[in-house]
Amino acid sequence: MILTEFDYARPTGLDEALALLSGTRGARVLAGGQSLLPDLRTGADSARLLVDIRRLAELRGTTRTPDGRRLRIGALTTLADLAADPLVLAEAPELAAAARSNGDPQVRNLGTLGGNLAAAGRPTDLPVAAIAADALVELAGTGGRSTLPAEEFAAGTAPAGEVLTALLVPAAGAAAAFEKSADRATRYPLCATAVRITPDGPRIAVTGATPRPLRLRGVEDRLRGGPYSTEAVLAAFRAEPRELFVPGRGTSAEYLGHLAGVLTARALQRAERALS
Amino acid sequence: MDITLNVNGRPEQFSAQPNELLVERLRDGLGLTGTKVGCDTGQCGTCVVRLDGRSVKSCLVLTASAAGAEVATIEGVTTRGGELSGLQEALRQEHGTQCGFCTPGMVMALGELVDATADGPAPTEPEIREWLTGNLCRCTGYHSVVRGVQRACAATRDEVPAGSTASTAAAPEV
Repeated sequence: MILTEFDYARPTGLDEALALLSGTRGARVLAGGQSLLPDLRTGADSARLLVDIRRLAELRGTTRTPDGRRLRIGALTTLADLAADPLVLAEAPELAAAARSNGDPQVRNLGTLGGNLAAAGRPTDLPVAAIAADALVELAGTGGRSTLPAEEFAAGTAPAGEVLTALLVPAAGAAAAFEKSADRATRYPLCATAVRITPDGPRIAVTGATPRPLRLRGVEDRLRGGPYSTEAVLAAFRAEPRELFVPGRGTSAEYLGHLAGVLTARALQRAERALS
Repeated sequence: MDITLNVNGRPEQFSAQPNELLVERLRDGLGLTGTKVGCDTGQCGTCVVRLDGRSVKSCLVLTASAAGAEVATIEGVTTRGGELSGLQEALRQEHGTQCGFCTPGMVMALGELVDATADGPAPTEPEIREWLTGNLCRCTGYHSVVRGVQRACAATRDEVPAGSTASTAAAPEV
């Protein structure tokens, strides 16, 4: 039972949703609801109006951008659909793997790409995949549409009154991978890492072990040119400041730094194998 | 709010508050108490129902948000004559229930897996176990549930189930 009271609206189009969100104090977007509803239930979050956008078909599905270099994935694509999407599996395999590692089948059946990216404060899995992929987050407000690099989006909070409409992901082929060590009870990552191997070197992002999803430029610099041997990757992580890793849940910063290194090595080695 | 919902093939019309959860409507409004409430926060999976064919946790869905949808609960799985579904019968034969509290949610969740894989190879044991991550059971340890799913999938494929312990021959007297 949700004890707080709120109003509910189910707009039939994005413009109507944006008008409701900008015109009502305390209005919140309801998409899959798999984080927001339990938070309303426990009192961890509040809302005056829920604007239910779950069935807006215009925010679903995957297409290639006209230049063919990016996938445009609608924000209301469910995690289950994202994990099984042939285009995503072929061109952004780390994103599909991250989607598949979230929660459980029932949560993935309702939870959405947008909700996972915007679930500030929860260590969800998709932000690292989006950061490593150099993806752009597309937002819509009453003033129009804008894009923001996934790394910047993860560093801030979702702008009030705006709706996350899509993720624009560079197509990578097989040169990407995702690895995760999950907390057994919550399925949230103790540590999750996503990597992409680009002509300019590896792109590496880590979450769970760090205070928020972070791109690790120092590690990338140390590994540029390879090799991606486990020893080299662990050494690259040992050179990071210890404060980067936040101990808790029975772990130390040293353990989390090591775990991040091990998972990143696995991901890099898998992506490299898939490339050759 | 006036809401229309199709539950187990029957149209239902009622008025609901915006903060009502689907599980509350099913149990308290429609008397379908086969759907259980365990944790009420989306962790235990005993409230799983099918929403437009997909298994979901009915404590993580607003009734208002489900308006217009097709909802299937455990009451709709058993035939009117009380005959168990193939999955339920296989779970019974493999002793896949003990106290039974998690069973309705498991049947509704696993029903989607069985349906989704019906036209291809049977799901593997790791796939079945992964599919069960949303359902907590504190009695069986899942082994017998996994065997039940394997038996159900084998029965529709005319095969001997992998890992079955229950003999199809005459059972020994106990």
